[in-house]
Amino acid sequence: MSYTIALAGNPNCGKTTLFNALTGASQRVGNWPGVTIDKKTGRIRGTDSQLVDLPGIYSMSPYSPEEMVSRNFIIDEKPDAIINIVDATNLERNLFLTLQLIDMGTPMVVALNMMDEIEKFGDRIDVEGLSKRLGVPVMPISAAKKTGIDELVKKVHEVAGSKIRPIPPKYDGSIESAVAEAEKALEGKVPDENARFYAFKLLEDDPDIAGKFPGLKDSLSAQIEAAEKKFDDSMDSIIADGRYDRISEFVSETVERAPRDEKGTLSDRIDRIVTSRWLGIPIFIAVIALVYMIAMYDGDWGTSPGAYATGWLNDWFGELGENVGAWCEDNGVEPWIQGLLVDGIIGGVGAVLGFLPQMIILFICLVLLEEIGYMARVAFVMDRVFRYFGLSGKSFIPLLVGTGCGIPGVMSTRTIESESDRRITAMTVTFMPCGAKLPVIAMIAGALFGGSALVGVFSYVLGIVAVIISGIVLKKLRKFSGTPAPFIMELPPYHMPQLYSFFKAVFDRVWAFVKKAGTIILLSSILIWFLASYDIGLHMVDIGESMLASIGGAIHAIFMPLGWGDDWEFSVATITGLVAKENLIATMGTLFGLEEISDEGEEIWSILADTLGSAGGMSFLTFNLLCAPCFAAIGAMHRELGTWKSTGFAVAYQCILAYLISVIVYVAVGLICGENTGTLSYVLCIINIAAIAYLLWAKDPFRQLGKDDGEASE
Amino acid sequence: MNSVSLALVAAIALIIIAAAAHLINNWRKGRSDCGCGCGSCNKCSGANVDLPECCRKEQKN
Amino acid sequence: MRTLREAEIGSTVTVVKIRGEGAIRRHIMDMGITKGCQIYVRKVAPLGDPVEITLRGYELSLRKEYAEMVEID
Repeated sequence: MSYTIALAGNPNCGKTTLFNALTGASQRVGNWPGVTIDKKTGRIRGTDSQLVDLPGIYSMSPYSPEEMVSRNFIIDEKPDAIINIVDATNLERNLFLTLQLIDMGTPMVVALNMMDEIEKFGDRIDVEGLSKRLGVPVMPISAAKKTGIDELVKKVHEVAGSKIRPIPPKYDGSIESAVAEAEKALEGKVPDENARFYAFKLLEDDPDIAGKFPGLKDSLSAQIEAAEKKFDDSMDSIIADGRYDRISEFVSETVERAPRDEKGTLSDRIDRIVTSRWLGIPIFIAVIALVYMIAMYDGDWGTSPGAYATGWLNDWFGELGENVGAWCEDNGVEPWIQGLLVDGIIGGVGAVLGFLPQMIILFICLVLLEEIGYMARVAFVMDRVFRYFGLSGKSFIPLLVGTGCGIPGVMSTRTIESESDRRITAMTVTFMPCGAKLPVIAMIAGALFGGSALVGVFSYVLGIVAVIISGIVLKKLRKFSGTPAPFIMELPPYHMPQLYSFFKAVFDRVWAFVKKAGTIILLSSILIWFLASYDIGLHMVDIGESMLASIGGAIHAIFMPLGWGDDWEFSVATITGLVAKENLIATMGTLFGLEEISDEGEEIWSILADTLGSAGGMSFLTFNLLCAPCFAAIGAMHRELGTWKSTGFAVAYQCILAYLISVIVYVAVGLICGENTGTLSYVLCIINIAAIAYLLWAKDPFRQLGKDDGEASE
Repeated sequence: MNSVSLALVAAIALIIIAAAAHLINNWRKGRSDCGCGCGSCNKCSGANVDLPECCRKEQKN
Repeated sequence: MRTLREAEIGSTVTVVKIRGEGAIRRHIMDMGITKGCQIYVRKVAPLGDPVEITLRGYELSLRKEYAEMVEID
């Protein structure tokens, strides 16, 4: 038989893992009608039944699109059964949703997940007893370890086939009599099986349900008053208390907890230091600095493994180029083919792949921080900073994701309820240094600053500062004004990373880096080589007379105040960075490789150091970290922002802000390092500081109004 | 043009075609070439977010 | 009446009432902060916000302005 089965549960309880375990690879991803929330469906392995993944929710309240989508699906689409996944290590809060689902009357099975963790703690859960009290079958499983899955599938089909409805637990007499009265009033107006759910929502004064049956609530006022008088509280709160009271009772009767360490778990003790009031932020900076030290440092205290391996690999690519060149000459290969091979392909792709060792070390460190749960602590530490500037703490999660890659970062803004916050965050996620920008940071740090970890720290702080500035400035625009959304976030306990998923995550990122070098970077490098080696009449010429020199010469005046010298290569590299940020390196590898021939074999990265200088290097880094991201990320922004007008605004905003800040960084680093940055840059720097200061401190035209809804701009 | 040159041109052309075909294929299937570590995306996106679509599997029944 | 915002770090408090209305009040209750519930105030983030609490066997971080809506004994 084929059934439609809905999968419902709290966020972060292993729902995605269970969905994948149940459906394997056969899933479709789309959007729920009208909202940009994922609608995932898939066929349950070994059956003909469709599994629909409902959004992760805590409750059936009507206040977020996720909750509306879930309850509308259950009421309107009438699935044959519901699998309610419950985190056994966090039973009380998870069962709150379970009780509400039970009231909806749809045949249902509770999947009690993370049973392996429960066993590890030494806790015991009386599954049979819990099932009896809840009035629905409860199946113990572990989605991560894939245990109990077959039994769950069998049970849910049994329940769907026989249409066994849950038997809802009963609450206090005064609540039940009000519910009974409400059910009577709703008779004939709603399907019988959903009546109890509607009754509760009517009593809670749920704006969506109460709006559907105007006046009906008034007829219940006697019962409501009686209950409110008895409990001295409002009805919605009485119902929530009632549910939680029943849950506490069930849990105390069926769960036997093994004694825990009195000083709190190890997790608690670590957290006491890591997220402490004064040490939290310094620790965050120290952690990032340490990560970059391991990957890049090369100075007085020795050479880090990352810097050593990268130096070796870069030399190897240099020799490879020379050897291939010599071999070509020996075999009478046409000069243009030799150029394409040595300068185009080896120069471009080799320059990117040369950073592979440092990338591997960075990925290992950053994935480790994610896996053990440190990154969630960073969000906790940073929330106050962000909120002070009008962004909700939830904005920080996309920013964290964005440090891996901007695309999922932009997409994860969907979890932000407030539309204006969501849009601002989607526009600012790509300020964070993503994986593709890491080799650029490594290049600037290595070529100009002896692999100093400060360049890494600077990049992250710069990203955060740019987000904060944007938070303040954009909130003053009509289309983004509004109050910050509530931030209620869970801190998952620290845990040892699972070896397999850890290595897989590292390997995936490394592999993505190599794959990009072999595809998009390779093609771009060939194109750059072609444009830099030929003139418009397709004659092979010196780089100075090439097509690329004409293009670069036309645009590089724009970047003069940023201290990128008289060379147009940096401007061209910036443009090619739009395809993929690694292209910055590939392009310079190709272009300086071509120049190298005339300059009598100077090392590519020392050419970079000579032309840019410390100040120019930092402004080059700053501009490229903040300006428009790669096309793929712009595409993701377009999907979230909705219109090309909004996307265009976002990209223009990013580029202008990048320019303003880069000039300031250029002049500031110039002053620190004693480099002369020129009158034009000084003047522009002062103007830019004034402009940013004006935007930051200008009166917010909507703060007084306070209640502007910040609707989506078109 | 000698035979070595011809062989090299053929090899480079093959590499270019293969790389371009790979990119076009990804683009048609709606996969982004992000560096986010797509195989374990619900991990890379942090504890409080589920993001299945950035590692969108082949879309067939 | 004292609110959760004023509770000292390291203390255990009992919820008396949830103030306010609408989505935030509802969300606070959905997360298990209901009348009679015991809350252990674990710590406060650098810069004073958010507050991290333990209730019903799990950890939650909550902004002070929402903590202010929770009346305690």
